[in-house]
Amino acid sequence: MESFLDFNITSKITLDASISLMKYVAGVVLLVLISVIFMRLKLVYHDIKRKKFLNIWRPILMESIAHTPNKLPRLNKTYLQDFIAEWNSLYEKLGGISHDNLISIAARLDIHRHSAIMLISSHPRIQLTGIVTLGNMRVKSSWELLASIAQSDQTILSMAAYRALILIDGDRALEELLPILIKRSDWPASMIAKILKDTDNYKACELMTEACDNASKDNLPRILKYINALNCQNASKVFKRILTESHDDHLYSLCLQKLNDPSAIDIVREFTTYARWHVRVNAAIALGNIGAEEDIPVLEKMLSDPQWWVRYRAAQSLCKLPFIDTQRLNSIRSKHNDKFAKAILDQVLAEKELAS
Amino acid sequence: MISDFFQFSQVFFTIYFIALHGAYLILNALSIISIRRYMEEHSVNNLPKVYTGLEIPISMLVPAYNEEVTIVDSILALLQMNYPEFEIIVINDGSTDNTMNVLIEHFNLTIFPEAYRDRLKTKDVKNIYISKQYRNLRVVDKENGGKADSLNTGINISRFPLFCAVDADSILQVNSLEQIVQPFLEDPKTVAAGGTVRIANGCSINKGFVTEANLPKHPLAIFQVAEYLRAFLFGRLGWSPLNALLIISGAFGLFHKETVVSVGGYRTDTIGEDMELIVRLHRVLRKRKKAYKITFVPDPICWTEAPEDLKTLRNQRIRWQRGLSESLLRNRELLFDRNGGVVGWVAMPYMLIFEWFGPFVELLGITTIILGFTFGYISAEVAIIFFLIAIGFGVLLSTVAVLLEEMSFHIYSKPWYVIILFFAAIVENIGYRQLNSIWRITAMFQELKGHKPQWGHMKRNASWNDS
Repeated sequence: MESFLDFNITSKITLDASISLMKYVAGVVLLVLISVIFMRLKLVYHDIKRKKFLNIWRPILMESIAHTPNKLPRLNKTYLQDFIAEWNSLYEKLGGISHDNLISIAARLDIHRHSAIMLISSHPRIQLTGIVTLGNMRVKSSWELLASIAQSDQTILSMAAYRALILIDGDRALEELLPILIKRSDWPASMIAKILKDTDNYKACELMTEACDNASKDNLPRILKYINALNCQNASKVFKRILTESHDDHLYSLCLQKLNDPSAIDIVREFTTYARWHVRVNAAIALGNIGAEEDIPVLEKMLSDPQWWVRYRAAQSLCKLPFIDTQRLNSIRSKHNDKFAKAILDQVLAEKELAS
Repeated sequence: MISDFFQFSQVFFTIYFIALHGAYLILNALSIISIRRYMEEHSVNNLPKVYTGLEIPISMLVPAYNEEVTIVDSILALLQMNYPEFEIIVINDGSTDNTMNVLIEHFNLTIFPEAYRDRLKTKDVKNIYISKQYRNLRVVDKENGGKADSLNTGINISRFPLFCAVDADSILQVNSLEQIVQPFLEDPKTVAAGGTVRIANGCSINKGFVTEANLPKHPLAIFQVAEYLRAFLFGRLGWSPLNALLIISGAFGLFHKETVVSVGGYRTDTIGEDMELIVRLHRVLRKRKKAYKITFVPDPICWTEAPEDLKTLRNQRIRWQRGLSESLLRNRELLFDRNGGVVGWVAMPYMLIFEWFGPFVELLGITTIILGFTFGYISAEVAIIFFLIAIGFGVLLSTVAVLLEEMSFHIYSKPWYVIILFFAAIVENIGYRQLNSIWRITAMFQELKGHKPQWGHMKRNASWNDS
């Protein structure tokens, strides 16, 4: 204890340690300065060279939109990544015949081979570029490799691989990789919906609705989201089954959102008084899509719902029904005693007027 | 006895400074790992940009108080955001200038019979307007109640599941919403996300967007550029992977509306409503044992004007310190709470010891060493070493922040800016940082004396080049 309190000794140790530490700190700061300068010089140098390189290749790629050039200059491999990035960026912007021309140029420059090598890189950024390029070039021979990446744990890479497979052979990817698609909870639904838009809608809807039959409780909401995003016309049977057999509020909401089958009207009506307001909101939306004359009193009642969103959607649905005009809406408004119902109808009527 | 005191102080302060900078260095290391991973995964965004309707719609809330000069340009820029579905809600917080008339005139506003619902209690709403020209623009005219009250009003009126709190003078990028929404798309547990704020002084601005990033001319603003780099790239990026981020800047943040409403919205009786909300989200969600994520997006997506005079800067820093203090005090239950996790056991104590109490220890240390040296209790050598440690580590951290910027976004295209920035990162540690500490201590004394926090009025210089 005494020696601990001997500040002279402690100070001496602290002092010596501090001096050594400061030497290291000064050294590291110097190293940081050198690194910053070196990185900036490298960046500037690469930028100049890159611009020069792209000045040659950009016009060639642009020209290829109209027709494939007969002769191509030699591709400097140092700027392979820049070329591929430029090629992909142009590819994403364009469509139709220009895609074929771009693919033909890339094939002549052996880009598919280079991209396949990129898949084994340790840098995800390079791997991602390779995956995207192989997909855009429709390289069938990379199928196995891409399929294994689609099953890997890495979210972005696996999703990019899935998209590449969809581009290479949409039908095959849909069929073979459906079990993976259904299980992947880490793939953002909006991104997958984008990817699925590139497939044959009929086929995708058919597979998705079939998948609902055996889907687990965890996976079913995700499939329903995809069905809704794809606007599947064949889903009403599935929706009706879930609405009558399931006991899950979230599933009810998902099914009611896009239900467009008048034969389901009785089922929908049952949900207009459901305990959870999220379900009532979607029931109000469904009534706007398939409601009949006798649903007007139901929607009128919903205008007094304690939840704002239920009132709002009910008012919107009333306005949307084809057999109801502004005059009738005004009469509903005037006979309603509830101030909340009047307020929400005023709002929706004003919105309707603004839109017209 | 006096000699022992100075000897003890010398050891205590040296160890404190080493511990403080050691903690910073750990955050540094975490940030470097995070930024490398982030750049690898997000720098090549080759996935298609076609909107499908499954993107989460966003309500942008823009509180405005006496912003007649800048409000139109700010809103016009926000209307150009690249995002499939968003609405803009401007909340005129009882401005005493011509803000409301400027808005009515420029955006062709008309009174709209909105069925207003006050889920969060706020000052009275006078009128709600809708733009005939831009259907996704609404303006709420309300009694003055402060920024937090305005944001709560915006939350009440917003239609979409996510809301984005934006300062009326924040300059965003066209893709800011696309970038800040990513954490919500990648992980549905996300309840809040914040982005990097950069200094707009000196930059070239065209039609409300930054077209070229330049360094400001005023030294005070240059120091703030270096300071912001350090604060955002380490302070926030380091905590994010630990899910222990305690600050999302009020200038630009995205939130899950229902979660924010469930914790009571913004507190109107605090000056640091942005930080307080984040700390409360951590506290309440941890108490509810709910899985959640609060994420930081390192992309430079929001630009703001920095004060170029000492008075405005002093007021700003006093407000920040009071905000920090109130946020920690009002959520003290989280500190060392059984369910506190990394936030309660690491981030909160760190904030308390190094950020809240740090300035006090720092200045006390410097004063003690100077006194000890003056009266001959501490040798010149020891005093010099002490200052070298206090400043040396700061220099190291600030310069590494510049390196991190160079490794990732390198937004300053002119090479000499990087050199200026590097030297600014060194010089800001001598004088500027200590001045900040004095202001922060002033804030603590003001709080002890029970001074009510005052809303600061930013003295605007618009020292960017509007083309």
